[in-house]
Amino acid sequence: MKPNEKKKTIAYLGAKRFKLCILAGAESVFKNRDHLNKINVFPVPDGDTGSNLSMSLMSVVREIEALQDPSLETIVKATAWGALMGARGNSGIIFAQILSGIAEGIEGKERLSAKDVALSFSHAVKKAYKAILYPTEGTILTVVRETAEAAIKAAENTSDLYFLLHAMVTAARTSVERTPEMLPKLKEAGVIDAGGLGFLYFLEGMLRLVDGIAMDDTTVDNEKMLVDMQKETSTSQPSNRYCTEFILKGSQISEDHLKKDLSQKGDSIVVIGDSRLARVHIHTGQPQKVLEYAFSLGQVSSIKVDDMLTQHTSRFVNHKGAKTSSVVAIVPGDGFKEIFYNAGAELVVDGGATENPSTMDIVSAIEAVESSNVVILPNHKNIYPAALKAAEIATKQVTVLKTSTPSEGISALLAYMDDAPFEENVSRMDLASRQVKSGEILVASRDVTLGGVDVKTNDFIGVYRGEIQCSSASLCETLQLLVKCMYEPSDEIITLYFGEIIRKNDAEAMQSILQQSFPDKSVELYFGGQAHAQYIVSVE
Amino acid sequence: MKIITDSTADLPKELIIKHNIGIVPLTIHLGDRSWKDYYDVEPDEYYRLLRKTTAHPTTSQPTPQHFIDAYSPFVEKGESILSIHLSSKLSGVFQSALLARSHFPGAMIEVVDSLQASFALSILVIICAETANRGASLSEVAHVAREIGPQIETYFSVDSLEYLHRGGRIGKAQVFLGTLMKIKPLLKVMNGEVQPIEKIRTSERLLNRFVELVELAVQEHSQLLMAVGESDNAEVMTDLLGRLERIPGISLMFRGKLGGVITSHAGPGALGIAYVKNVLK
Repeated sequence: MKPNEKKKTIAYLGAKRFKLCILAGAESVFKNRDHLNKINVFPVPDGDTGSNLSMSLMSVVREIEALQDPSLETIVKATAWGALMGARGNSGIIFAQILSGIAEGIEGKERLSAKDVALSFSHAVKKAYKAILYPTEGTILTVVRETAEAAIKAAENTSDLYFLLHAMVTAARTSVERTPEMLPKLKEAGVIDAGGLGFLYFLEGMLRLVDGIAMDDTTVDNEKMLVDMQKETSTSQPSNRYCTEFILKGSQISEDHLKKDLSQKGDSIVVIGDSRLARVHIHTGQPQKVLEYAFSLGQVSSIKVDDMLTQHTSRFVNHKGAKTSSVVAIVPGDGFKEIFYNAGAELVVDGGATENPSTMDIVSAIEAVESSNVVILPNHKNIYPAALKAAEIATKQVTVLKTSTPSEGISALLAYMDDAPFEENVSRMDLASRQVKSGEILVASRDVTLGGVDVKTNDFIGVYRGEIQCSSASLCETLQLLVKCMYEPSDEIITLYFGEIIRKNDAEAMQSILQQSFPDKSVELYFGGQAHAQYIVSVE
Repeated sequence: MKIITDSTADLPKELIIKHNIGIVPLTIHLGDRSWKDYYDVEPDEYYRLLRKTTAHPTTSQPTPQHFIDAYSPFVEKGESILSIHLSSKLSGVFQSALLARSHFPGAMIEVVDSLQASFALSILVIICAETANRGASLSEVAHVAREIGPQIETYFSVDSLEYLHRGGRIGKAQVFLGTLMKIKPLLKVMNGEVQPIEKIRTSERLLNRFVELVELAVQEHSQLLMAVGESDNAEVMTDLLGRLERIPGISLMFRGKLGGVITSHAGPGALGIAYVKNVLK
């Protein structure tokens, strides 16, 4: 149907219509996911553009579904936030960038005219070009740019949003068809650009909605879509699982440098801003490294680190009130890092027996977390002094707990409650940290006799309460002896955290041997990833 | 005055009989079988069924017709009815009851959303029955129900959060941290909803925490009415109750069991305590 044959006129876009359009667009992309996956060849033919776009949009759908009777501004912001949170893959991140650019462009408006839509869209496209590390023509970028140009032109001639949408779809279609001409890889493979086509599907979904049914009594069956999409996500396990966002204030921020440096630390990078203020979004496996880097450039604020695997929730829903306290933990090894993030630490700093973070590292972490009351879990006696010093320097109210092992830290962290008063958290965490007994298995670096135990170089030693309790050339024997000396009949759980040089199979064998020795107790095994100790052991 | 509640109150038989409480059952579905809670399946039997199956149970609320049938005999006799139900945030039972009431224009029926579940709802029902027994009018008892209901505290622990998640009884947005480690989650019913509040690793610490919470409440109110119970976790409950009974100022209303519907959502292995300042003294 050509626009001049139509009977509808749409004068404005309000919150409700905006939501319906986004849902319809998302559904359209989702329906075509498999096709998009199939034709994905650029930048790498990994066949995931459809899935990535679907997941990015699913995150948007989740955000806006969580809102009740939102204003236009809220819903547009939720759309932008959802897109940034969920953005996966190159096309997904560009899509996210467009949606967040639109949100910026319409701030404060209750309704959008055709002109508003065209302007904010074109603003968003310009921002997207700036935010992308290596803009490539013949991709979704070209498609959105040409669509925006068409939108601006159309909005000069009409105030009817239906006409505008039609013009945008036509332009997007033409543009997508031309992508093989611009990008040789596409031509070779005989396909059009998958990301660009995804964007076209999105617009077409909106157009079908408007064409098919009156806007006001429409409902989109997004329940089913959500369910299908959730199946999709549950199978993907991104290693860059921490969605990290912050605002960086400085004097001479170079966006290009920032993007280049960040690209070594993660993906889905978006940098928006100017030389004095930049908003940064990145998916990374090491949020701490990213933040450390950011601190080296200037003042960092509004930090959000979300674990995308465990925390698929919206912060619009979650933000009931400011946190009463934040926890900063210093831990050795990736396994512990994951456990600490999962158990509620807001920021985890690398450090342990062999690698001490500087006082400034800890200060930075203290300043970076959300609450002005901070609990520090040093998790090693060598780190305690630096943590104390950091607490002194920092501008916030800081309490350093005397956790001297990661397992004490975990115990403390599990006692932490988001909504409890700071003092209560401190005393509960302190108490909990003392309810667990920790020991470790190390390798002796020289011959020595200590506390009646003869130790030979390269033998394994079991350390508990700061003293060597046992030693043997066999790791298994040392571990059993150590647990026996830590164990009391009222204990319920024996936990092993294996170090980075221990193979998982060997650790599992150790777990089952201990389980045989303590048949009615729970013996648990986790990857700690610490460099220093073969095993860290806790008994409680 | 007739007091009617639903099967999710998990009210023990002796108390149902003693206070002549009407119970409208919810329905449990497991695989291709269905049971009316308590009427068709007793808690112990249901625990066995649930432990044996890999199927996940679902539950359904009584229809308005069920409530109409429950109300009719008393409306006909001209008796007033107080109908107190499971938190409207956890189920549509309250809605069904409200709809049923609209079928009896002019009848003396008060429908109350307890914002509670299980033993807390039981406590509320018994307080209302005692109040009615002392000669209070329907509107007076309904007022007591609405005032006391929100004051009852419920804490419970579950073996795993799986049943609550799968049954959708923890808000979609609810993030519960610490799931990498094996934990015993402690939960609370807050404003009619289930909220996980603490992560505890050993059962010894869990029991101590229950005791601590009750001790704090006794400090505040000096006298407490309490009801406790479990789902297929009797031994641990006996241990816990032994510790709770040592705290002065506690009147134990009953020790019960979680019924089929509540167990369908909390899973087997749950422990629960509910208490409120003793308003009956």
